[in-house]
Amino acid sequence: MSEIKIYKPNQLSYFMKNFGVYIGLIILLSISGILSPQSFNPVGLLNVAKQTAGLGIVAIGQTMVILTGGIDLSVGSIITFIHVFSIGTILGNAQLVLPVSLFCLLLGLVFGFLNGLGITKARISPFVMTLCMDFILRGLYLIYTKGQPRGIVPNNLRFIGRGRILNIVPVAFLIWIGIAFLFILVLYRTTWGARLYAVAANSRTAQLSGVKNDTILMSVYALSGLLSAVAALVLTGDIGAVSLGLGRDYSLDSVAATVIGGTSFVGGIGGVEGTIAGAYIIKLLTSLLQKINISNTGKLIIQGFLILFIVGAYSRKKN
Amino acid sequence: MILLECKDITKFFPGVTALNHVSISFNRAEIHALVGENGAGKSTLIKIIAGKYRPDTGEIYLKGKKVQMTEPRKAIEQGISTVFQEYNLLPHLRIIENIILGNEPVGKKDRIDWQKARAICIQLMENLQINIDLDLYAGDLGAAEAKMVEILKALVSKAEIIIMDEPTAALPEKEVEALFRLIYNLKASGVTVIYISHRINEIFSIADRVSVLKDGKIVGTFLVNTINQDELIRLMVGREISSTFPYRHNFQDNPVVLSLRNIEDQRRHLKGISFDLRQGEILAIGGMTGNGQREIIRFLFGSYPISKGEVYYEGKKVSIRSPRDALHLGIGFIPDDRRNEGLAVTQSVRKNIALPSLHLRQSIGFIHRRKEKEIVEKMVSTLNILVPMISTPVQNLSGGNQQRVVIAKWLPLKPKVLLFHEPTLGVDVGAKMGIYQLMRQFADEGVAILMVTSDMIELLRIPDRILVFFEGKITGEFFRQNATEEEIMFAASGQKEV
Amino acid sequence: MNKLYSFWYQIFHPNRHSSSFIWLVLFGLVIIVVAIVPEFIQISNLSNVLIQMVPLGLVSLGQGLVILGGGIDLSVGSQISLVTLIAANTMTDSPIIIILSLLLCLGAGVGFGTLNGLLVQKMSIPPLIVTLCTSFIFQGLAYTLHKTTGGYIPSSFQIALTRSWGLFSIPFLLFLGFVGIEFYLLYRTRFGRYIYALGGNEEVLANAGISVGRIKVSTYVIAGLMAAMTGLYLAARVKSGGALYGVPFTLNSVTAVVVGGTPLSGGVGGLGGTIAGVAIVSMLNNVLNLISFRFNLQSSFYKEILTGLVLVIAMIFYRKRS
Repeated sequence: MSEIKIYKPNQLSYFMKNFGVYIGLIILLSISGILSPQSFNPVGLLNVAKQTAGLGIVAIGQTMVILTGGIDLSVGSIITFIHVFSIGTILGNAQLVLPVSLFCLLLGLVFGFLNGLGITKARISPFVMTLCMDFILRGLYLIYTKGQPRGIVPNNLRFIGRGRILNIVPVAFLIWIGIAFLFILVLYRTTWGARLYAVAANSRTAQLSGVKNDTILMSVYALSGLLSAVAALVLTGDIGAVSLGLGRDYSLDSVAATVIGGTSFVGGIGGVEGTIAGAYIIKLLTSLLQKINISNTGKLIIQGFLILFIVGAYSRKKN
Repeated sequence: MILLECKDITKFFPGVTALNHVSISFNRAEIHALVGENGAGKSTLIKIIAGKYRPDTGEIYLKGKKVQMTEPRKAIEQGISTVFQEYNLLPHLRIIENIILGNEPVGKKDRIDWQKARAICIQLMENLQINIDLDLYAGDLGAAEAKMVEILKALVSKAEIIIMDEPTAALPEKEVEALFRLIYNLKASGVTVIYISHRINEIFSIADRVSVLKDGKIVGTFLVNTINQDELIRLMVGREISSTFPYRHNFQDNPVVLSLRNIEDQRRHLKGISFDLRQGEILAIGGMTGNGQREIIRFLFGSYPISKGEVYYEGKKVSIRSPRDALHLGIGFIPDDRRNEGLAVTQSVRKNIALPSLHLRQSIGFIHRRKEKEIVEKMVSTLNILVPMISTPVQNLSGGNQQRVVIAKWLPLKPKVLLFHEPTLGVDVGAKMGIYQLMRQFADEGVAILMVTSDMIELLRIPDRILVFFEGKITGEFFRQNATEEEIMFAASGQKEV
Repeated sequence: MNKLYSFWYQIFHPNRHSSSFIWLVLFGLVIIVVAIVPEFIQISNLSNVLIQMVPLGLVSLGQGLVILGGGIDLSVGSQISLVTLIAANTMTDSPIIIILSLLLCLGAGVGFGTLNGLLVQKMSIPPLIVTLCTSFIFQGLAYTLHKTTGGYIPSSFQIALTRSWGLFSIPFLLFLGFVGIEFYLLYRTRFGRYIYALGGNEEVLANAGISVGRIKVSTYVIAGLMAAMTGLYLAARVKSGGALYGVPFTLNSVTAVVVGGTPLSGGVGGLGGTIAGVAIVSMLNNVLNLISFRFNLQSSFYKEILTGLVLVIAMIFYRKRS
């Protein structure tokens, strides 16, 4: 006879799978609160939120890429490129901010589109394609600045990065959360989102159900590029000056944020809602480690262990 | 004399008893067939003998001594080798390397002794009276030669028992004969062959004895010359197979929905296929697997390219280059591999069913969720899909219910043509009837149905008209009421031209 | 099959590792380069080229086996850095200490490789992620060991590992030695066949009763060992240890292996191709230096672009062939 396994949604496991990362976030927040009680107040927390905005925005794009089984290692270079390009073009002139920013968004879209092209048309694996794009862009921005970048940031751009509404809520944070909710809405309520999750769960079935896989993949990488450009502008505003190392950690950090947030490379599991917490956790970790005087080094090590642990735990659950 | 004996083997899996106190014995130098429906337990029994599974109760005796097969390696060492149904060679390595994989003759410092390896292979080929160039790359071989190489591979480990799981599944008739000759030679050299097959007529040409498995139990073991086909099938299936569906006549004057003319492809799997399909008709394509059936049905769904020929849809010439094109024309496809191509098993029933028809229930891209829920629930009740909630992941459903989900995907699109590739593959006996009834119901409502099947029983009971494919051509066309099994087999072996 | 057909079949069959092809490409490149920059062919430059090839060559020998088996090792770069630091922090002038330090470094490489292999095999995590993470961990450890003074490498050690006479040199001979060992391993033993099988189709290997895990872990151990060798050599050559010394080697070794004809999915390819790939990648770097010297440009900027482009081109090209 037919065997139907009765699916009783195990309340605890359902909760853990989707919101477990928020438990982790709360734990980490508590630890940080204990270690430095003076900054554990709304202003302090919003400060961290402001710092996280850049990573959070990039991670949204990375989440969608990883859902489809790919990876985007070029985001770091896209950020740095857009950063030096925008500063070098605006040159302190407040009137140029809007047009140049729009152009930068376009650039981000184009870089992402090129990634998508290589992956869908030339069938190059996402890892290789985006890594090469990363290299190429790095060479390009080094040539553009000849190793010595220059430029100043006008005030209207600074507002995006550093400004606050009502003197409390950082604009950057609002932008991040706004984009995040927009994409959560799109992913769960639109046909495009449904098709993306279909491709993520089983690309062959999606194709045989009439989905244009290549279009979905291209759009995902293009969006990742676009979001990297947005993040670049926000970060530029925040930093206020030019720095060649701006985007350096963002490629790997955004992957870490996505994975910690519960998104998996296979099976179409996860989403932007988890990545919000994931980004927070990464940033908290960094600042926490800085406080205990373990710098980049320790963060790297811990990040490595953390991702391994989480991916291992998720694949154990599957088996 | 008995070589291998299984006593009282039981094997449980979560929710099902795959083998229920099975006792069976195999003699030296015999060809012993194992038959049974899907899920009867043949595969499980074989895997236990080959060391892939451990039985929950029971013992295995080899040459009178009790043995414990803890892992495949042990079984191989004991002289039990398996030739799997799936392709088990490495295409980028040479044939000789494939044959000796795992059993390489080695000298000092783990160095492979190629001369010895070559000698062993040549000797084995002589024993079996076959001749294959050892230095070809395995990827260049055709299906039958590949099977032979796999048999050689099984023999290198000095196997006394070779298990063959559906060895003729992908082979054209000519090559089946060559394979049979090889198997006879195996028997002559003292090897025992355990032969699993769905093809009853093959069993009768090659086996000495046949054992029937049904629902995890052995129904009986018989000498092949003491039983006939009908009796065997009855034992396997447990009911009279003459339960037929009445012939249908209500479609013969209907307009033609799909017309194919002179379809050819680059790889020469299709060599000039032409046929018509009417509204409300159930047309089946039969013949041995691998003669172009898979290609023609995938072509109709935009998943396989052709180089010549035309397709007409409702009288107009069309070009179907992608599944999207087919979908827009109103064609739906139920593939043979539903787990990997028909469903996203980690997603819910709702998401799976809603996918192909998303564009019908949206405004500016946003999905009308209530409408979607309504439609999905309607599908679930119309098709009698047994699920507690539509948010249940599809992987929790049984094979038959999963197949219904795949069918349900297409219905919201109000398809005019449904393509079924092996409609009841992996579906148990009880559920099969349900699927057949659904198909007839759709046909009565005017849907044109094209089905590809390798199941002779299905072929003779369900469709209105039957086309038989052989090597890319149509070699037989029958109305079901006029078709006999012999004529179909004849056409399937290339004996007759239409 | 007559001899002529057999020859053609061996060399140009699409299933065969297309080693001969990439060697042709290499020769072509050399000719083009010599035409543009004749200084290339001078003995002083050529011997330089051969010596420059050695570290990349050593690490690519290991990476090649991992990729052939269907995996990838992104942690080799940080392993190299870490080993240079272990050496720089433990060595003194005493020969006994030098030897112990050497053994420690090699042991570390084996340890790192075992860690990678076990994580991939036991925890079923994709090698990309495992080695990405272990690269973080090793890099972090390297940062902790990093000293601005660079540590101490005895001169005797340096001299021993860097002697050269014209075109021949100790490092290059060392490299050839390892090539010989890997040749034997890959083409003459069972283990080599199993690596091909691992990359071709793990199931087939398992069905034949071979322990897939054992082979897999071994490839990562060899990669770790070769990374350690590379680290030791680098430490000797620049007489110090540094946390960033190994950085370019990760991507360059993958590029060399892929350019040499071993696809990232494994199962096809081989030693000859990898060596040609190493030569091409090294040569491009060397040529870039010469060009930028001639035309007064900053070469480090272009190196990045070039490596990226080369890898993309190689992938497009090999994809078309299969």
